[in-house]
Amino acid sequence: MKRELPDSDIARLLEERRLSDEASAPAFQVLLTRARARSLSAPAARRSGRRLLAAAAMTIALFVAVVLLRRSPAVREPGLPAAVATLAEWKSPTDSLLHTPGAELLAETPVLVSRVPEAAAAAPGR
Amino acid sequence: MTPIETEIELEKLHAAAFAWALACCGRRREEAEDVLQTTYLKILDGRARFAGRSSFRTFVFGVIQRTAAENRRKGASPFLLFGTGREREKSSEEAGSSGPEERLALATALARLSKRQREVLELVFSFGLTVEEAAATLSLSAGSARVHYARGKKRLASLLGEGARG
Repeated sequence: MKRELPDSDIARLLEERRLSDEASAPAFQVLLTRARARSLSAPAARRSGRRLLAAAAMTIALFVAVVLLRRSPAVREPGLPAAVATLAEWKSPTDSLLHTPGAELLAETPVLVSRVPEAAAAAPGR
Repeated sequence: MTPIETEIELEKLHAAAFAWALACCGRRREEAEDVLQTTYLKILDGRARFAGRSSFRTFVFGVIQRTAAENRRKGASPFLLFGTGREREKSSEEAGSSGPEERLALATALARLSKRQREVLELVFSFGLTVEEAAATLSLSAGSARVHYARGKKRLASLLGEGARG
């Protein structure tokens, strides 16, 4: 059968540990002074952190703006407004679907061989 | 309670509060001091308010436990109640009259319990809280705390008994 340590022994071991932990506690006033100093310095640190973040965001925005402004414009016909040039170049994404097999048959009017004399002979009343 | 009265009460509890903070921070001293500083600030500037529903000690211990949990969530340390072997060893060297083997066996056995079982047992055996007070400290129902206490005690007694036999 398993041997179990009595409650009193568990209590003794844990209490001894607590007593040793308590004996090693730092002084209350020292800890409180440090805590107060930290609470005073924390908002300042947060403020300087926010300033740093704002400066970084502005730098990135400036960089993006410079890159966009310096990008070379698309080659256009001289004299045409930008919107017209863009519309002329535009292609539908489904444009390729219009190229179906046999589409060339419909591209021009078919030429039919004339059989008019036969048709006239067959006509009633002649 | 005025701020001065609160500060006096905190000073009375300080040593025990530090011991409990150590238990909540895996016995890492620096982290325990940090948690205790934050706890005191929370209580003194009114972010944690004592409503008088429990004893002041239960309230302070509860704030310490929650602050330590917040620190862990922020990624201060992945360890829970018990730190590295080196820290455990250091802590056991500082311990009182029990022998080093006995202290090491206690630390090892406690480390094998669940976090809740360990917390309830520490509060009851080390700090002399009732199971109901431990439940209030840990924001548990009294029923849950009783189950953690009974199972934890049985397992700890068995683990320490095995150690003593071997």
